[in-house]
Amino acid sequence: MQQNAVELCTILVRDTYGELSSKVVATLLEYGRSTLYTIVRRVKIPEKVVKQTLVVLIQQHLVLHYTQEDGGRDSTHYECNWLQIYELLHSGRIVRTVEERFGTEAASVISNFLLLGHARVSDFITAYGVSTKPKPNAVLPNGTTISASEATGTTPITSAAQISKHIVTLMQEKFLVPVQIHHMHPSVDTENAIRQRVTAEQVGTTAAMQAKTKKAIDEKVAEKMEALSNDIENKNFGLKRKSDQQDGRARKRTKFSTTQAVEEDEWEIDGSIVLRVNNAKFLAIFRNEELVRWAESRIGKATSLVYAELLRHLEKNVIGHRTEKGLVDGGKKSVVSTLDIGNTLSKDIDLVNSIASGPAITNGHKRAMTNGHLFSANDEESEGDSDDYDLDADIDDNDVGMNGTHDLSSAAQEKKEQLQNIRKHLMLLAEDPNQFVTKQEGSMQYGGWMVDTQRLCEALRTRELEQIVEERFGGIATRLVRIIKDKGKMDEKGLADTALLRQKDIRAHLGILHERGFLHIQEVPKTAERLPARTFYFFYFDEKMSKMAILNDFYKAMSRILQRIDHERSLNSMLLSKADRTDVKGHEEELLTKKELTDLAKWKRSEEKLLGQLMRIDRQVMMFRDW
Amino acid sequence: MAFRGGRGGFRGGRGGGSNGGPMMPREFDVKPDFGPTEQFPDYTIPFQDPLSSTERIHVSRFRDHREKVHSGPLYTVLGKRKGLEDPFEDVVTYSAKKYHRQKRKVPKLDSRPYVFEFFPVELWETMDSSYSATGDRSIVINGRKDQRKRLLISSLNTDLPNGGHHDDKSDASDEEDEEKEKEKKSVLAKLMSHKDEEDDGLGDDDEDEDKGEEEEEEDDYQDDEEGDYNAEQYFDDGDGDVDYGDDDGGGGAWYD
Repeated sequence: MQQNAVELCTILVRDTYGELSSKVVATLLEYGRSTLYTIVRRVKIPEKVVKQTLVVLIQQHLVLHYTQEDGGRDSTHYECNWLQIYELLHSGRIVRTVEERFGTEAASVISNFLLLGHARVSDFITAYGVSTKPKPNAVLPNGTTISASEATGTTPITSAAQISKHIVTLMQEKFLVPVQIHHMHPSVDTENAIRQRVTAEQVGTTAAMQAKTKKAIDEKVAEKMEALSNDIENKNFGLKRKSDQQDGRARKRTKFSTTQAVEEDEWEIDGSIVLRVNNAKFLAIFRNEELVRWAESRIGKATSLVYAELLRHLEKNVIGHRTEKGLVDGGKKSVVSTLDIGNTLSKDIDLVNSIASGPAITNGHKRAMTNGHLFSANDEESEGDSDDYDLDADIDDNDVGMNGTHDLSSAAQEKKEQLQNIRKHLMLLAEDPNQFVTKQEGSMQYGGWMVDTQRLCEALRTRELEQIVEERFGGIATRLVRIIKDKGKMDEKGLADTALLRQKDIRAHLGILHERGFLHIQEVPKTAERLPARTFYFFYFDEKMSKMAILNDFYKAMSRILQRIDHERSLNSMLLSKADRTDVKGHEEELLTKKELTDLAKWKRSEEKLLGQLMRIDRQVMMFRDW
Repeated sequence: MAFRGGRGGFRGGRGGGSNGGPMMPREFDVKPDFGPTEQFPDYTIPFQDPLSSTERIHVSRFRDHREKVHSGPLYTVLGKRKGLEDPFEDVVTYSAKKYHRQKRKVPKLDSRPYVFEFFPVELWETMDSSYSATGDRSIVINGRKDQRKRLLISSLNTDLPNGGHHDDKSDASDEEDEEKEKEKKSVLAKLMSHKDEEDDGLGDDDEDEDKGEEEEEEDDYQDDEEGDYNAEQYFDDGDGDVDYGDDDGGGGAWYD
């Protein structure tokens, strides 16, 4: 962990949970894993207060703990979970994402879980029921009474059933995940504990034997660790089937109509489980949003919307595990069929006019629509689809098709047309040099599609890195970096030759790039004396190290932004404390002077700008660290 | 590209002072400039692109969330140390007591139920004062149902319709409208001001390094937690805030 990251985390915690928490976090980050006693000694705050602060931090998952059971003397160690601290930055975006997908009520559920850290479902539901009932009409702080239904356009949460419905949905999509005891421990400790247990089972073997069984033990440990995380992967983990008898028959009947939506209602939550927000899932979503934005800039709006829909289908299976390597989507590579996308894609998107095509092709395409060969026998269609779909083939098929089914209803035809168009957009995505999607050969109607996120993110990173280099050091530097990346290790002369520049011109650029950690040098002496004059200096590009250098810069910039906000706040402290008074809040217009109002607006704008910048850097951090 | 071990020192006496030899012909084409650097060199200040409406929503949600945490029981502000207050600015006035947001010095923990098994045993007593180290775990885990505590959720209430409202506007992506909306809503929340917050992280640590002051700080805490019953505090609490004005004094006093 880098020093700048430590600083950022400390500031973030102070910004959100106050000074006391940030002091404890700073100590934990600085000294690493510590016991309570050590923390108290280092942070120089009374033990009672430290304990209270630790409760807060553990509740919010910012600190992990582990109690080593050592006979009678149990010792508990605390460790800071700095990635979770970083997640504090995402709170706004998380709430917004849920809001967009599931509406305000679900967003409020998520927001409360964020505030609470983790909570038992039963507690949560009772608390919700009580706190919302007495005030169905919320009063805005500015005095106006707005009934919740009026404001949101939907009915407010009134019953426990509604809340639990929201929670079930969020759980099935893995936005909320059950917390288990091992989530509160550092994973190293969990692994050690398992290892100990596994080793204990092998008791009796000699030392020599143990060495032999070491591999077996390792395997077992890995297996068990995986089993721990697998629990969550189960779609309905923590949910149980609803078991009321009356409903049984109705359900059976609906089952025959094979609608999936109905089936989801069958689940209810086990009230005793504890839930928290699954940050990794949101990281995956943010990543997909980024990919969509990229597709939009490369191809176009309509196509990007199709792409977004495709990714949304893929997201359903994503749990998201965070590993050292980055974000790993759970489960196997899943394939989405064009049909699935067609079912959920909004009808408002203009699929047809967004692709410019020659008149002949459009014509052929239209005729292809009517032939209905895709609705014919299974074998044929699978074969037809596994081939690379091109429009000429359709024209060829046309004659055959004409003899086939003419009597397609207009709805079915429309559907088909839509699917064809979606296909066209997906083909565009697949044909892009970045290969946003890969076509899956298979028997799926209209073809199936896969997305190789890891490769795409790699490309995204490369692009971003080159942009950063370009921005900071100019075009020549970018050219040099690209050449070095392409060719591997190169000395100055070779570089100059490849770059078609004079050695003298590139030297300064190389120096700066080296200084800032984008390029690295290996020295290879020609003679045993290692004279500098008789030494090759090979420049090379180490991705990992450049990433670290960049991230370090990002963290620093973010800390500075937050500090700047603090500073601005202290400049306006008088005004802000006035505006924050309970009697002034909501009545600013009457109670503040004109000057104060403009100052307040100004402060808000500047804070917004700074926070906006923070979020922008956050995007890049995620790109280089998490995705 | 410094002279790496080329000086021949490691070859003992053999090389002696004759380190000129093969080394000298090396010519440096990089000519360092030893003159003083300009104090404020020309610098093109990068300009920020205006925030998109999505970004603004994210920011506003972030602020909302932060504000909620701040008004919740977990946020702490360390007041100034005794004797360091500004005699003019920091005097506790009637209006400050009545209208200003109460500042907590320590988090208030006893307001909600906990999942005890997720916490280390040594913290249980802190989380629930009725649990003592020698007591029976099961009492706490199974919960004394009769006096169950509730999670604090109410803070969201006022915010929810507002959020939805805001949302509708922004979806229309009408920048100006949103601006107005923002303006109107602007002062609703978000603004946290701590009169006495003028330190930055580094300063904090520095202060802590100082032994002498540290003693004082400890005293500060002790003072606050000394009495469970503190008449003055009792009345102040009843006086002011609706949200967390409670009189059990379990968390100690949380303002100056």
